[in-house]
Amino acid sequence: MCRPLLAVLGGVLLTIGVVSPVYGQNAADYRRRLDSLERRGVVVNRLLQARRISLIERSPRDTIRAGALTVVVARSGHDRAKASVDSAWAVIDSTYGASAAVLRSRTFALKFSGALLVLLPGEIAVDSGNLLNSATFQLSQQVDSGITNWLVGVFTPTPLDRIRWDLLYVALAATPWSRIEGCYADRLASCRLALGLDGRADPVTQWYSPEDRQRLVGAASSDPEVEALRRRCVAQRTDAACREAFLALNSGSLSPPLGAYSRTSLMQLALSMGGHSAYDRLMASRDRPIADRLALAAQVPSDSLVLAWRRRVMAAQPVTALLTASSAWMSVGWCLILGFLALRSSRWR
Amino acid sequence: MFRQILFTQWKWARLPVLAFVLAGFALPLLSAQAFSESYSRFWFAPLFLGQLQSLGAFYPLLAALIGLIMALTAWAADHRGRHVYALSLPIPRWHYTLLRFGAGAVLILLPTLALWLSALIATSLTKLPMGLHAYPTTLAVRFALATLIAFGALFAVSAGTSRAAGIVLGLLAAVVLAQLLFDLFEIKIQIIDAVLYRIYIWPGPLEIFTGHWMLFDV
Repeated sequence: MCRPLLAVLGGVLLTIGVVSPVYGQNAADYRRRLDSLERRGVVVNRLLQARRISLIERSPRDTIRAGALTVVVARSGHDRAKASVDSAWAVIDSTYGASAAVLRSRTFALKFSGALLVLLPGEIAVDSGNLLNSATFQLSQQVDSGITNWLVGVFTPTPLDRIRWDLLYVALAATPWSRIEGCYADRLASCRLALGLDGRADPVTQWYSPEDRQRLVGAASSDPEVEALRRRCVAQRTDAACREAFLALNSGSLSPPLGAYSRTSLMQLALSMGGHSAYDRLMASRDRPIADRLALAAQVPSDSLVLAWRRRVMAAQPVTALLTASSAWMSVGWCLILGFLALRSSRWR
Repeated sequence: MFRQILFTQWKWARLPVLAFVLAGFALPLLSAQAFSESYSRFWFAPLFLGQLQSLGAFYPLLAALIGLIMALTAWAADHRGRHVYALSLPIPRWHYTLLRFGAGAVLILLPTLALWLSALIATSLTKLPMGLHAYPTTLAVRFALATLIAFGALFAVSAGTSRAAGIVLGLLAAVVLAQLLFDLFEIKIQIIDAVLYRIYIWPGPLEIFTGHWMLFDV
């Protein structure tokens, strides 16, 4: 009884669907809906703006100035921010000198966890503890390609006493590259090669020996063409084949052998030796070789600069405290004490 | 009498001693192999020295393990036999304990000698960069001292009465419990840190275990 009824109902619905006119949206309806959407958008924007103003009013902010550095911070974080702004400016000022004036056009918004700070247009958001890096990044936009190509990275100023000279000592003492081993043994020319000051005309040959090139191409490459060249180098062991593979592997730019940190430390040393306007002199000599630029910045010959750098590195030799005499004697003493304690007991279990 | 004590102790401990000799011989060779591999893989020296350093953690672990096992085997048979053998000997207790300690110390020398020999071989087989040096003898001396300290500490506990061992364990448990209670009531007192500081920092007894254990270093 139910099935015929359902069939009739289905038929009626199908008939209504087929015969009723299909409703379409005409241009007037479309315009009306668009206008309505625009009006609502304006209202939403006003509400958002009002909320933003209310947030700004409810989160009072302070402006901290140190030299050319302008930092806004939530009022509750003022005391914490003041010390870090002063410390960042001290490093920036001593490193960049007059060039740091570029920062006058920037405002950094320093954010602390738990302190509400609403950003205004044009402000650069910075996490607490990252102010120096952020300001340095702004300054690095002005640096020419001569410096960036040599550094292979962004220069971040670090006070000389906070540079890890001990790591540089280890890097120099145990360098796997034969052309720069001599730097450890006080050969100036090797140090200049290690730091990428010399040999830039033909770095493949000047910085790396044939044995070094063979070692550099030792790791397998995902590129089939490069891998074929690498295999030829490994199989033939001829410098021509290895040189070809080496160039294919380092098709971008070839880094000097000692690592980027060594060059950053040299640049920092040059700027520290040259005083307040050292950075300006470095930037003003764009068309000269990097060694001359650093020498101009430091106001000493480049050889003297490299020797000063090497002296600092060698002075930072880490202590190889494998076993000191005091430690050895103390251990002997403890052995005797423990032995005495074992002998002392007069009872059996 | 020392020969007999040494012989019996050797009989009880020969299997672990042989295992320790093998481990002691293998460690420096593994260090040298790891060094050579890292040296060709990492071009920044602190990285491959870091690799070597992580392998160096096995030296103090092995030293502690040797000390533990040798101290336990030195007294295991006496404890099992309720010290009847020792009491039947015509010597005072301190003399007997000294013989046991001496025999254990002699047996400990075997893995140490194996480690020293292996370190010398590994050093002669490895080509080091100009600024790196090998320290096979210093490493072996340090290993010997660390093993003796571990052996001495556990030998003293093992040689003492059950009451003495209980007191040592009780003290340790009390320190841990006190720290838990301080943490629970948010009292800012760090007993465990202070105790560890006294033990592991010079002139503490376990200071020799800390720091880098490197066959090759600057």
